Amino acid sequence: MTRPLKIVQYLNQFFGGIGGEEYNDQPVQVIEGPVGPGRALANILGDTVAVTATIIAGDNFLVEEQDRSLPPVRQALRKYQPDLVVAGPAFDAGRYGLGCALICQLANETGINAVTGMEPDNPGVMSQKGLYVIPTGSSPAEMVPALRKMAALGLKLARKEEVGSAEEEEYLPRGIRKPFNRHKQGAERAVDMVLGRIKGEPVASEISIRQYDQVDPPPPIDDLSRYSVALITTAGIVPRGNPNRQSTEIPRNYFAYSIAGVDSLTVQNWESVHTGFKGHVYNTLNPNYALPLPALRELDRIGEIGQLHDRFYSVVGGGCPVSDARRIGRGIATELTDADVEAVILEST
Amino acid sequence: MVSALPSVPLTLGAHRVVRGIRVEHLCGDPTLSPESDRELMLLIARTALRAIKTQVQEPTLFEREETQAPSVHRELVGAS
Repeated sequence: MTRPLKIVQYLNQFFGGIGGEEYNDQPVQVIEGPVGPGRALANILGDTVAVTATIIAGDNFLVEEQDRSLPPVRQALRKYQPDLVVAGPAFDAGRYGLGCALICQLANETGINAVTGMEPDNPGVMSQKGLYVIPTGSSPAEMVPALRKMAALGLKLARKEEVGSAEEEEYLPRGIRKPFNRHKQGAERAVDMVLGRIKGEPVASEISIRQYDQVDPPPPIDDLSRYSVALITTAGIVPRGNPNRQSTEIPRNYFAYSIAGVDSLTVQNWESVHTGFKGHVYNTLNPNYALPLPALRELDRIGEIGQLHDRFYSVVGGGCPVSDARRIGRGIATELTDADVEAVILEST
Repeated sequence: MVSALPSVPLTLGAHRVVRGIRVEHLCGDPTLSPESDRELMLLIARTALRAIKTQVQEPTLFEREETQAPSVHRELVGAS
């Protein structure tokens, strides 16, 4: 029988059983055998693979003090000579994700294959190039299914077997293109796809398009006269002069501006920085067309809404990665929830 | 949400979509008299409130109920 494959796993202070956020400056320690999620990993892998050691470090220490944190990691990898490094999974924890990516990168530099797992929007995904990252959800409740996928890919890497495409092996695309011959011209392949569609056969697109989130509709609000309503506009309405230097094309962030005591926006005091509206109606005639403030003041006055929230939110509706859009949306939603706003009218230009 | 191009948010799964006027003047129409324009903006805002008050199961378009509203000049929109 061949010798069992050896795995070294990296965990942060939390999953390594040291403690929570207050221990994020813990120095690197190396423990023989599996710890925490490593035990689940060992169960999944069975007898032919052994988790021989676990490297644990505080999130902040590992990432911020690399002069001190990386040498002991290198030393541990030299000592244990693993066939594979498994980092995490980190789920949606940003600094843990960065740490996992760092460990994988270090392993790869020393000729050891590595696999990690995290939520696709985790900053760790983009922090290093060419890593094998299994996409996970955001919750550690998904630990076992995440480890199962990481183990399946990890075993191939540990055995130095050929690894298929991101799609086949269910890892996140690594930005590496491998030329291959499809043996048919594009036009023929397009016609084949159309015919497949018509025949009802499964047709796989050659371009992967990320799916949008499907969100359940929030329940209706019967009596708005008791609630606060807020306005959001994607026309990039800002105080004239654009004091926050809001981007004019691709939104990177959102901004809130006070409309307390303002009944109507004027072109003297407000403008749209959206590059598509330069010299157009919102800037020359009437910014209220992108933020119907006079109408909401009227509805507030006659009691059809409880009140109009005294800050409106402004973004520039432009080409925006889904991850940024989600971050911006979450940020606005959190602030509005904290301000007890129950309903929002989004003016989407 | 109020959109000048409702088919886009409806396709992407937005739940409550109110038809706006045009991309360049979403909640009103500068070709109308100031009074009619004010009425139109109010009607759009009221339609949005009606959408918030309505139970929906899937992406749903809310049209203005134009009974006492001014007629709106429609033309093809150059989307931005």
